[in-house]
Amino acid sequence: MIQLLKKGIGVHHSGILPILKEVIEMLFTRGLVKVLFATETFAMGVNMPARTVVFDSIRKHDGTGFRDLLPGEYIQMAGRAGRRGLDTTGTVIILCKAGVHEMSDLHKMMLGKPTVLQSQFRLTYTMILNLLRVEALRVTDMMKRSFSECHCRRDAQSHEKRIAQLKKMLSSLPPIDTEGQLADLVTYYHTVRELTLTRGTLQKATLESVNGVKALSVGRVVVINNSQHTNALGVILQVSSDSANRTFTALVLCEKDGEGTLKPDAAPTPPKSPQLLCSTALFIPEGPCGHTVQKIRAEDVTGITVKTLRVAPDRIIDNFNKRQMPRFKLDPPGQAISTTTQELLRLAEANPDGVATLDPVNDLQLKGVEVVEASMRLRILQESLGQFTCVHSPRFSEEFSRLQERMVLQEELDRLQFLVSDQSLSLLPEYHQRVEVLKSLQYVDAGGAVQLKGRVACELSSHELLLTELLFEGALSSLPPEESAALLSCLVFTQKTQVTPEINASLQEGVQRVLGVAKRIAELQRECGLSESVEDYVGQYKFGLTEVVYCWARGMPFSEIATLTDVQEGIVVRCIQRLDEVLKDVRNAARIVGDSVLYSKMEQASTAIKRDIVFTASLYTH
Amino acid sequence: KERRGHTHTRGKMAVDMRLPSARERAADSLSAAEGRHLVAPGDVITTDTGFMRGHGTYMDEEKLTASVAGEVERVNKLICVRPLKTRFNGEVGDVVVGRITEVQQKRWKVETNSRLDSVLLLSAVNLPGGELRRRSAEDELTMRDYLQEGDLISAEVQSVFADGALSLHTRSLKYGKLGQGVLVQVSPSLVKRQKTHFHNLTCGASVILGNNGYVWLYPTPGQQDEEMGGYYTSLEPVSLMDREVISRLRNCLLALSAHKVLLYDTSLLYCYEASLCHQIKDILKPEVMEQIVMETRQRLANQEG
Repeated sequence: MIQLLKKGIGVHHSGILPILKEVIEMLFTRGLVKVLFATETFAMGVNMPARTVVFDSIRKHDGTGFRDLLPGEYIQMAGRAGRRGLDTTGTVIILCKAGVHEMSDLHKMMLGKPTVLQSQFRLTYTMILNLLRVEALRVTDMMKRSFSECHCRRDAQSHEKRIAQLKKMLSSLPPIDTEGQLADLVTYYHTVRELTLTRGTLQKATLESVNGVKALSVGRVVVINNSQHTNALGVILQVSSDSANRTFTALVLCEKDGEGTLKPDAAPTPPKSPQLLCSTALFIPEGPCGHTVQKIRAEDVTGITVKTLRVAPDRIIDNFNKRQMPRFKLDPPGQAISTTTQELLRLAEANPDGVATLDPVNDLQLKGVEVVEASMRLRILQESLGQFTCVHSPRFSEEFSRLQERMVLQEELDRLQFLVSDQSLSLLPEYHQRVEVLKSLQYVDAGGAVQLKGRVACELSSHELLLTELLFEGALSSLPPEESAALLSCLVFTQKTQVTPEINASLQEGVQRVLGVAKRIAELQRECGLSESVEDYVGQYKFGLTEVVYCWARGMPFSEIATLTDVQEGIVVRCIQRLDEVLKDVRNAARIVGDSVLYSKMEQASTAIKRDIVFTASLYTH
Repeated sequence: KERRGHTHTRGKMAVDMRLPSARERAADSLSAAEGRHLVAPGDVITTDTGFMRGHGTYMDEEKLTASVAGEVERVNKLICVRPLKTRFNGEVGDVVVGRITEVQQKRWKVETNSRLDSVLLLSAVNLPGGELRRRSAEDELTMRDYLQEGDLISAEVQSVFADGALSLHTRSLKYGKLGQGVLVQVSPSLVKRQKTHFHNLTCGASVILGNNGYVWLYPTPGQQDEEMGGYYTSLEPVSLMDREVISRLRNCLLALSAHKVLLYDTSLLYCYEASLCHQIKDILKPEVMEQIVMETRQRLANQEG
């Protein structure tokens, strides 16, 4: 390093000793280092002006994968070019080592949108335990205030107002009469509702399936059910190519004078009697037969029949559209239309009780669980419809419409109350699962009061479960200070190493113990429903630095430590500094528990590692 | 309206006299002593060296010995003894009832039945009016207007100093200066640790079960009183009915603590209901105490079983 610095070249990254990093930074500020090779963190620093910034590459590894630089990162690094007061412009150079970069990539990197703010709120055990200790706060209150719930909370006020409104409206409605024959009115309402919903799901599943779509081709005869037609036969003329909202143009049978007139859709659906709901009796015009060509949606098709007709769709559509114009209104319908209409009418008259439709399970080969269950449920519901007595009551329709009004309001009220309440917190299930884990490990008793183990866990800032379990199993108090320090290094070291450390037998045993405890905790977490896998949890504890820390704690000089492992020196130093904080936490925990032996051991371990170059004071504070 | 006794009366007054007698042992069937490891100072707990030692124990020539009288608690490999009669050892989050003993610069000293007096910092109380600002010199000078020596407060433990002294705070509307009521002092180990220590009992009074053994009984406040928080001490006269309820509860508390029953809202309520057939002043007689406590214990055992 000295040779490089003498020539005016510096290197700055996380693997260098911290004190050396500070030296280089100071030299750079003074202008004695002319060229500095640095990483991204250098760009975050203050008071490090540079004339030019050179990018070695525009891709980086962010811990999970290789990707392009984000606009924010690029601007942060490139913005360092240009010293205030000394340069008029700053220069940014991007090296093209493997060929010139794509224009679109560069455009996105330099002018792209900044990263969207995302909540990094994580529920930790320490947080939950600390909040459970305090009487005045509830953990759900804390969760409600996090940024991740921000979009829900924004609407909270308008929801509250609407809830008040709905409550007033509901109380002003007349009560429902449920005497005598109308006793099962409410059940009837729910059954009808479930029936329509199940039918809807079945239809949707049919129409989304490959076979269903194939069946709905030009020429297929279908049964239409919407606000204008009830069980009317139609034939498909055109299928729109938009797969998201498929619409079909179809020729539908209707009354002669109903041609072309579109009744307003806004009329509320009158309550359907069970016969109507179950019947598949086809609509047969009472007067002379008419037809319309209409666009229908997928939801309007209640049945795909087995029949197909040969049609000339373009001619039919053109003819119909022509006759919509006032000039040609009185023209007779064209040849193609009349033949098709005649065929449909003949079909309807031949099968007044309904044409055979394709069954979703048997014909369209939809074997999915939901579909099969839905069709079975549909059959059960249809059978049960016949047993309701309320339909025979003379006041059925008016009571039903009143009930419908009331139910609609009630449902909206329930939905809004749910949104405003605690139940809609997105992290709530995870919260309950974590409390389950704490209860089964006896950190919290069944009533929610924090126990001794929980109080100890509150003192620890990271890996609280593992450390508390190790503490209470006596794993740390039976080892000498150097060995416990070496063992605890697994909590702060997060990198992979190639060199496996050589450690003595008792340390090996300690390592196995730690892994055993970690496995137990991970399995318990899985049982309670948390999604972290056992291997991930156990794998986060890496023992690459155990030998290094053990030797350091026993007094080996730093120069020899560096030869023991392939990890960079700066990282070793940082790990040992963080290890000191962990030892302090364990010391506090020992004080709460009352174990003076462990307390003194942790103090000894702290003094053993706090020496020499690892803990030298920063140059900035001199 | 009570009638004060005439000073002129020279008639007979009933006097209750008792001679000291040995206390009878409570029925063993209800004492649930099975499974509980009770020790006295000097008793050997175990000779196994694999255990860590916690509070209340010491190592005497390879043997783990108890240093206080109480119950042995074992958590995995940690053994500690929970003493029966002890000073209050505060933890963060405990609710305490304390009495102001000194007004110092920027803080009050509060007596809470612990080894050292607890500290209530000026920055840890709510200012009148609920403002949030830095405490000025003027606030320091008017400390005495808010809390004086002898006042009772309810507070929560915010932190524990290294020497064991507690730092309290009243930063919630339910803590603060206490008004009219009755204070009962029991041993801290008898107060059960629960989710909440403020209870509105159904018999018509409210209770604060301080973890430090100080229990405060007071008449249930009306609706508007609760919003005032710790500043408004109501001086309205308390009705006779409320006073009777509170007196009965106080005597029940003394009865329960004499028989070392764990105190929480349910046990207190059962004891109150069991005592309704006796007069309030009779509850303090030993045989009545025993009967009431036995009935309470039975009800509690039934409820759990």
